[in-house]
Amino acid sequence: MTAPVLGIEDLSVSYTTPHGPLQAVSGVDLSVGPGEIVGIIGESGCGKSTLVAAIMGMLPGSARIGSGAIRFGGRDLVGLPREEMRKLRGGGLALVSQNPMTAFNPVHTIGRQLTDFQHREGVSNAVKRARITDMFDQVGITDPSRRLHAYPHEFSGGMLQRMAIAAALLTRPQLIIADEPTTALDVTLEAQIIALLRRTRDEQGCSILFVSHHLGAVAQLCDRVLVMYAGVVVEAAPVAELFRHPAHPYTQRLLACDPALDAGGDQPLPTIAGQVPNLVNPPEGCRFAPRCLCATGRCVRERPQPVELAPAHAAACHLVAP
Amino acid sequence: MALGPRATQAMREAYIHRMGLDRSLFEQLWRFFARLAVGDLGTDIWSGRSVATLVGAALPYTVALAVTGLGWAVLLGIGFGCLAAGPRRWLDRGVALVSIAFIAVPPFLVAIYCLLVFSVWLHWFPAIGAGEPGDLASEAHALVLPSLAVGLGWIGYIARLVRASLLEVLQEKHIETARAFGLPERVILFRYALPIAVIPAISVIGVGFGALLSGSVFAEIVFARPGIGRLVYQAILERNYPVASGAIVVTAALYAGAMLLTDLAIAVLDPRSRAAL
Amino acid sequence: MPRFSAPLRFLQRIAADPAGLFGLVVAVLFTIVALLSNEISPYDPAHIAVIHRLEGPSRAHLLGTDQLGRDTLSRILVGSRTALGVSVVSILLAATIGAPLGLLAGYGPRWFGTVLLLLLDIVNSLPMIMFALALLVLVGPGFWTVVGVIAFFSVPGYARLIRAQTLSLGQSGFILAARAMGAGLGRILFVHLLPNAMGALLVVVTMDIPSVIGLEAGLSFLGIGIQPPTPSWGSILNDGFSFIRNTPDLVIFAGLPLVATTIGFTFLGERLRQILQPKAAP
Repeated sequence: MTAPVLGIEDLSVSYTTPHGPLQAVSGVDLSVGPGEIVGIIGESGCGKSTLVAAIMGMLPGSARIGSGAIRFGGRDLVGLPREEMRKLRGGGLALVSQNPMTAFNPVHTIGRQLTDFQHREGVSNAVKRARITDMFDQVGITDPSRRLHAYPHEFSGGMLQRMAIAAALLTRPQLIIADEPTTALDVTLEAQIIALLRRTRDEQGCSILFVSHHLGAVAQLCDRVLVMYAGVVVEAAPVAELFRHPAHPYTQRLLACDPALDAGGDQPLPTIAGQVPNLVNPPEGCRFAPRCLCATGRCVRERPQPVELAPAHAAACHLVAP
Repeated sequence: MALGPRATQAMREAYIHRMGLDRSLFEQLWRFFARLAVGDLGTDIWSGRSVATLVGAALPYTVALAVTGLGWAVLLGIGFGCLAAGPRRWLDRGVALVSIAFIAVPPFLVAIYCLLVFSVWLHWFPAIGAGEPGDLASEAHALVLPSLAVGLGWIGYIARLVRASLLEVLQEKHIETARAFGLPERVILFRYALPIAVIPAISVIGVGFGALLSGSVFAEIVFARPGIGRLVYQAILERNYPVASGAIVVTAALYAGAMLLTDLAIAVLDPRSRAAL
Repeated sequence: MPRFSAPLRFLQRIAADPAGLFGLVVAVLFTIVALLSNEISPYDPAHIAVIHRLEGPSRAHLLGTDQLGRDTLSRILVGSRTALGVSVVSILLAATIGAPLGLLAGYGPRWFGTVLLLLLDIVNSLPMIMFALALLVLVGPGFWTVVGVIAFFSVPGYARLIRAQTLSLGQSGFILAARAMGAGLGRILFVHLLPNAMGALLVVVTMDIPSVIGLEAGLSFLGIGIQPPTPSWGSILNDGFSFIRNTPDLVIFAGLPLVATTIGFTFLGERLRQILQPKAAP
């Protein structure tokens, strides 16, 4: 078994608020192997963004890492000095964020910014620009050399997201974190970006951590999927397995609610009643228990540990049998 | 009035005739603009020299003063603004208080105290004049104190604007992107955040050129520097209308020029506004 | 007694911030001194005694004398009266002209608002000194010249503020209700809109006082403002300026109250803005 590119062990992150610490991420385990595409799905507030920020070392000042480790490149990123963390960003770790329209600085040309982003390469600017045009070709941007002199506001969302991916690739990352990269795009563009990401993994061999709440995109792209709820990983499985045999009640409800997976017919689209729990005072037992239709007394009292159901398929629920 | 209390009736009549005041108001205005169109600003009644010469001689001094004052304000203002937007709270509070103080104190008083401290007590800079004409070093030396006095009030405004603007810009998503690529904080601040943050400050400068010029007048008078402000001041006190009106016209042109320059500067800094031009 | 505690709590809030406290103290002190200046001055500020010219501080003359032997302390104390007088009159004048303009601009026909804004912009960008000098030639120096110039340049601030307040309040529920009940334009403007703009008005007035005091001092310093023998901080500075090399006392002493009042009122205004308009940009 080759060493994972990214290994997160029992990570907990909280935010200091006037009402008390908000437990955004609690005891998360995650690993991404070389060349693997791992997806994280979950609704808003499940802790996905905090997780991404923690990995990138870009948590806000009010955040505290309570426990756990983030292993990357043979080092634990938790507690790494700021300068060391900065060296990893754009030098092994790359981020593609959600909204391509705001991702770039409006007063500098695309060429200028992507040249700046290659600041760790010890080559001349001319070489850097050549690499940008090459990369633009690879990600499917037409007329690349002319694009260098244009400003971000001259491009559409889809084009900008390709450029963002190109920028990430230019830093030769071991891991690309794609944080909801298709949320701001329409369906056609989403399909193109998904295809681009897959091609990237196939050709460059980098790993991808794909965070999204679009189940369809995750189903198409990822090798393995983790489901997060209220800061906890509730289920983890290979993608086909997850979508065919979802074990955790939350996953099952999530799949049932997704319009894309709707079998059609006249039944109204189901929803999950209730709200995400208050993370300042999270429930003691299973966090999904208040909204779960199958919750038992044990679910409310005792926090479930991951139960291994099949190779590489685990769910944190009292009601599943191995 | 201008001729003094001992003017006789004949002298008055001659003066009125020379000044064209005996013609109708309409005709006077017409002749003023007609001459203006050919660049003739009239003749100084005392020295006989053309007003244009006088104004032309004084103009460079005022422009130098205003521009240098602006330079101080921009440099120190942006510097203070960056400090205030940084992580240290006491710096932020300190800069805020000092900025407010600079804005509050009247510019002529600032000029006087600058003169007192730096010239009379410390003897670092000359108190009077603009230095030896032609000797750049002495002219620059004489320019420091008056331009500082002019710029001090503006430092406060610019610092506050830059601070607020910077804090806002640093929250924006594209700064996050730059950080995600591991760019050093200094590059992010100076190349990515500041160019956007200073734009509001620059538009304020254009509009406030009037205040800058007022401040220049005081500085010119306090430091006895030649310049348009002092020219107008003395001319009006002496009832020297041609000089006064000519100088005021030139001042108005200066304003228009400043407004134009500001618009151009914004266009250079922010490519989004070029589309609108 | 509930009726008195609200203003008191308001003052407490102002004083909670050290800068605000400083401003409050300065404002109160300034007003008291200005009003009582004639009573508390040790000497008649116009009393000339050339034998005692340019003396330094002594027991007889706490802040020394000026070039005509007049007691500096007395002149400075009575100078505060001048400052207060000019401030009150100019601000009242500017507000009285500016507020109705602003109300009309915000509530009335759109073309009026646009034209007014344009005119205000022009006024804002005019150089004040030139204008003051021009007025001086036409009218002659003195109290009303100063007041006129200052008020003229202050009007845009008030007009703009009232217009902004009117625009934002004009469509709100209680205005529409008043119109539905048949209230005329005048009633709406003065009974409904204006009282709601009071908070913002208070801030603007407080921030205006230091500019007005500064402008008056500046114009008097140039000799085109308040004329002697009425003492004004600006004219004392003018007197002292000629002797700045050997006897800087006049300049220092006359400058201090100017610095204190301008900074103090500005701090007060800032604190008021923090309290009354927390959503406005810093």
